[in-house]
Amino acid sequence: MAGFIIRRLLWMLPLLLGVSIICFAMLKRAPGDPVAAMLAESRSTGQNLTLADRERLRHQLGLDRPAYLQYVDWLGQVAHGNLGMSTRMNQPVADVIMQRLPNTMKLAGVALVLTLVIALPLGVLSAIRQYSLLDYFLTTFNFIGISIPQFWLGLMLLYFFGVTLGWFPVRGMSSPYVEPGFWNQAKDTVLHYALPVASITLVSLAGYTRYQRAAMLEVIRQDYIRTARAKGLRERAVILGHAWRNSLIPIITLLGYVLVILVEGSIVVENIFSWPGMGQLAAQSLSQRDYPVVMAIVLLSATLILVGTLISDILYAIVDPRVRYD
Amino acid sequence: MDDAGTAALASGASARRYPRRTILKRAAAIGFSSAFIPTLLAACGGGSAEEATPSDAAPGSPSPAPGETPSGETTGGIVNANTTLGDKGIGNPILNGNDYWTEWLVFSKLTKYDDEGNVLPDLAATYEYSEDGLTLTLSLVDTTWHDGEPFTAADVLFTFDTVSDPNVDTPYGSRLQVGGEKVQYEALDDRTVRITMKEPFAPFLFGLSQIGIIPRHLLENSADINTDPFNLQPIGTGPYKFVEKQPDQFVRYERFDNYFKGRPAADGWTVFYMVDANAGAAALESGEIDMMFTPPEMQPRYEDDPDYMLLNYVYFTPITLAFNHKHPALADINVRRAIAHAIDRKTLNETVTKGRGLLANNHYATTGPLDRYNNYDEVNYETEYPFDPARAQRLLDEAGWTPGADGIREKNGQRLSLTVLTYAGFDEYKNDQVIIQQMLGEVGIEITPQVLEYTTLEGMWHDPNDDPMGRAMEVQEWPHPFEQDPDVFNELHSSNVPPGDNYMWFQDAEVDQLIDQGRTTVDLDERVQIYQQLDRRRMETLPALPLYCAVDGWVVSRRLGGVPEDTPSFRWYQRAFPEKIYKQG
Repeated sequence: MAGFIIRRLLWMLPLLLGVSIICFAMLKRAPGDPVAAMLAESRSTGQNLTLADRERLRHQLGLDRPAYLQYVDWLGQVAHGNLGMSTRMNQPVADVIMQRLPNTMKLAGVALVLTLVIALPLGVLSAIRQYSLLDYFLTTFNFIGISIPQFWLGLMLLYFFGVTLGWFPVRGMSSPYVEPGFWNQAKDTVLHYALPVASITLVSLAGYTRYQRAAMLEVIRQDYIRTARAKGLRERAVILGHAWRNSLIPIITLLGYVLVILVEGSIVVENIFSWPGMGQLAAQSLSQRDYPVVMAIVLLSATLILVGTLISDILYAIVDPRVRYD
Repeated sequence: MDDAGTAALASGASARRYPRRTILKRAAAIGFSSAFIPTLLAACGGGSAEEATPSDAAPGSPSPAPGETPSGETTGGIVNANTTLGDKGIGNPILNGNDYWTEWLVFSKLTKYDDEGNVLPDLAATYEYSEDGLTLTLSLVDTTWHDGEPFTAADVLFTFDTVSDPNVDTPYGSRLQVGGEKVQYEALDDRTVRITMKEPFAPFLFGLSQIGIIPRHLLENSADINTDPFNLQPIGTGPYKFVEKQPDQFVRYERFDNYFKGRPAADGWTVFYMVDANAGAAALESGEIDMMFTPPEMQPRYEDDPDYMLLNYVYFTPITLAFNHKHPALADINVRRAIAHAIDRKTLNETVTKGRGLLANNHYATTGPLDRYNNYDEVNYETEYPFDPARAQRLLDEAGWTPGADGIREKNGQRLSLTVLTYAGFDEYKNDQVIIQQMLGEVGIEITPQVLEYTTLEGMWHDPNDDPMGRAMEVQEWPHPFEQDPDVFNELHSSNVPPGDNYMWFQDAEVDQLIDQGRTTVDLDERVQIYQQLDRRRMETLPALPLYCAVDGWVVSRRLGGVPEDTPSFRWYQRAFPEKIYKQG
């Protein structure tokens, strides 16, 4: 097992290198560059970046050098722990990301916990009472959930609960006008989280419920479950003690990707609810061709995916004694 | 300061140049109330221009006594606005990509423009050109920065130095250049700045009005202005002080009681970052924000709503069908003329804008500060290029383009198949393309519409080797004059072909000469004459075919006071008089 882990960790470095090269190449091949985006932005505020200014900026940003040299520069910086400067915000990339990362983690974290807390029991129930009314209802709900586009759901929730009923605020993580005091702030926070969390949860519920249901169904057909019942165990012990634990194996492996989910954020939901997170950062940085930020985000995501899958595999081995790595 | 001089300066002042796209996507408010639109539509047929009345805002005129407007309403409150521009991270107005609202609420300029297109004194209480137009003397107001330090001429000089510094990330470097040379400037005393240039330059005051004045005492010893902490905690001389910023969420401002134009009306402003237009509309309706720029498709909903004012304004320059003059087929004036005759501009305008747009028969909007430059005597696209498909067909035949087997014209084996490009995000442009495609199809021209992302298109524009076959025509507002100044040097002069900004490759010696003359003539009457000649020459040579002027709009909640419903331009009103806006109740 130890050898397995070490080999996986060693592979991470060349993989990340490869990912960064591919990403950089794609960014450079795409038309436009940060200065073109600056020109568009500057026009919107009535300035007009002249040719001389654009050339100077391109030179300052190193955009007039060959692409491979730009990549080497970037790599050298990263090797020294410097992620560079955001061209859009004139601040260090690390700062820009750290301002937004916690916000996404909070949103995604709350949504994930809520999803699991609801999805897993429902999936189990749906499986053990297969073909019942509950099962049919939940299955239908799952189909709807998988089919609904998140932006539509988000907007519907926003308009109905935020505007028509006026129960929830329609933007951001907090209001600048909240009165000081623990309960006031807590209430304000809950109100702000409600709609974005609902948008994410309602859709991801469907996926997790289905997984749990499918896994559970497979497990309860196994011989050892029949044996457990034959031994005279109460149904509750059979289900919770034996069946459910084994049905978690696929779920646990899914959770290896939790890190990525927590960090990447949902561009769609963050956009609609003006949530100051990584999703918005990624979308805006891409459209403004803010290469250092995009590269940093891609690097971060790639790292987390690799670490996540490794953890996933390790958990898999821990949870299922039949699995052995050599 | 005599009247002629004032008038000359007023006309000589240039204004911001905004591609309509960015305005639509961004924020800027200008408004005509909905009651005005029928009047505008009636007036648009090329009748007399509305004379812009001189602004009566004098510097230092007292604003209402604290807590009360002239009509007795209680001022105060926090005004909530939004910006779709996204978090810029920079509050320093002279740096590239700075935050829009911070620039207008926290900082002042030497001069601004009011909502009628007149020059409005700001930090420069008076400005005076010498007889020969080579020297501009500004006398400055006596005020303080938000931190209490006195504002002096040294701050102005420092700002100019910073803007001219090649290491500073600023888009304003060229604003202080006239005739290829940097202007000279000096402080005659603490309250007076004198600027000397080598030749008269009409758009100079406009350029000057774009530069926010920054504090010398806080930045002169900065290691690097581009990354100085000041940018995240800016201090200016404007009506509102910067308080705090939550990244990607909001920025808060509070009233600066010692503002030199009098105590500002509101207690503070909060500007929220909301990138999505739907989310912005939801926030407007739920009361979380009080005003919002509204795209055309959202406007009808607010037209008769008692809780909101829909403040419309006419975009200052028409949307045009621009021709790429590097394209072999379009280089022929007769082909361009044929295209002009083949397009029924009236139907196009009515269909696409549902009657809200104004048919453009001249080069500038019939309302606004540029209208005086419209040559109504000799230039009228409706009479010069009436909708006449038969004539279009004849012109094409004569030019050697004869219909092929599939109905599309050909010449020397080349099919007359043209691409029409525009940038993404605007249904209106896409609709324009489709209608043009149909109309030109009727006369045997095959049109392929294409929608590209703005930055992609920008790349094509500035590429000297861009292939004209892939970009034959465009639907947008080319060439853009400045919003308050008719100068079209950047985009129409032959010396600015790519990598410069004349990305439609138009070259005509007489147009060049008239442009050069127009820039260097400060006297208003003479300048008007020159631009009228230019108008005629443009109509003869057809660099682009004007289609219609768009009418954009801001929706402003009636909870806000200090916003006159009949302002001709809420977009400029909010920049000129942010200190007058407040929240009632």
